[in-house]
Amino acid sequence: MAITVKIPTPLRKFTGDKDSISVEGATVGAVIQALEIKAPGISAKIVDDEGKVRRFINVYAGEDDIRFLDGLNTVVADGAEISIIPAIAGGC
Amino acid sequence: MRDPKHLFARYGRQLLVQGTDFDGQARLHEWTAVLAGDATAFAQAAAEACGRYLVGAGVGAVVAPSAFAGFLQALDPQLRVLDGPDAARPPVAHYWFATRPYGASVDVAVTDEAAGYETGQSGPARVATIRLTLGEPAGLDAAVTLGAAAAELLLADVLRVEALPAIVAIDWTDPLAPSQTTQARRDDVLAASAFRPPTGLLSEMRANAPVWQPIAQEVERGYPMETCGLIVRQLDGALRTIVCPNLQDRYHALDPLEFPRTSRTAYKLNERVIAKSADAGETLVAIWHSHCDAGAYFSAEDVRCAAPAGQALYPGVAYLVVSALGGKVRGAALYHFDAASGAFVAEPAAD
Repeated sequence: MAITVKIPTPLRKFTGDKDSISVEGATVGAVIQALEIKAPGISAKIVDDEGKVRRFINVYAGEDDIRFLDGLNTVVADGAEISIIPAIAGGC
Repeated sequence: MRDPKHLFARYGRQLLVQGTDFDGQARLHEWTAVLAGDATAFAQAAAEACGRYLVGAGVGAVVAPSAFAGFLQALDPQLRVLDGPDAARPPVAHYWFATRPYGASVDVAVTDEAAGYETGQSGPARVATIRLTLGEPAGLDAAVTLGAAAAELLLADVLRVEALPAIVAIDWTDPLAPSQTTQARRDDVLAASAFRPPTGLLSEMRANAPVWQPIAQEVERGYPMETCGLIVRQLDGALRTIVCPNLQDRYHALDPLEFPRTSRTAYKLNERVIAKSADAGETLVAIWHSHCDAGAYFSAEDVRCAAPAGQALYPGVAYLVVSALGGKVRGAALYHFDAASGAFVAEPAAD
């Protein structure tokens, strides 16, 4: 189950400046755990202590924010692409 | 009093200036604004604009004409709407909007000492006057500027950013120019920092109709909800505006604790659009969004989202904030991140 994970600029210090990493995993959560092995320290920047995706980070499985799918339990198919993208948000 | 952290999450929008904090927001919640004026349509429109701004910023109570008191209550169901000026207790700001031969004015009298109020022994009220010089005939849209300026004056005073000035004069020649109070604050921030933001990008955007017009149109179309999007540089060097749907309400519906705001006071866009733009060889230059019934400041919420923990999520990308008052675009400012201080600094307006 090879999954491509797209890494945003602020997190590339964990990946030796690579913009994408290929890992194995059946769910988004498993993919992030596998990513942590290849890029130690990165998972804490994506997921908080309670196991939720951090407020200012978005994890997209394909086109969809996993918050609207099954969160970290979202199943990913072989060859899928997961994008980790910092939030663009704010307010008055 | 409500929990200051709750107040901040709900209303934290004026707190961009150093020295204001939870306590400032909590203080504002203690205030009552008494909004009154002469019978002209202009004065009534200015009072309503002032009320919208103050309620949006988190003032705790208002006394207002019935014509718009209900509207203000709908903006914030927790707002206390008092019946008649006599129901107000200090701290209170009395506003009187009037149509004058030279244009319009508002007198602001604040009584911030509760002690001795009942017996008439409290200290003298402080009074400020804003004079708005208008061309003829005076358009109702200028009333929104007067009302917003009057609201900003009180906020700056309550949040202890600036003392209430005796007189503020606004010459209505350039409706997109920043208000005097906003300009003064920006100068303070610049003076306190060695960081000098780049210049010229804001004027490049404003002078470029295909870039600026889609933003202005979308901001006014979406009012009173915030709107948002990106500005990218194409391979040929030209700027291009991308209008994005504001997804904030969708996130709020999914998880109101994590996303407490609605699109009335917040925005969130689908970040995947950046990848699509990059695939076309475009570079992200700026992220834009609107503030409705509020100034073009970079709010505490904007800072929190753009640079959580003091680190910019999009290094080198500027943030354009467009102010819409009463449904019309009234100002814009472009902010750059200063990595040394962790602050966002406005690009100076072109001369």
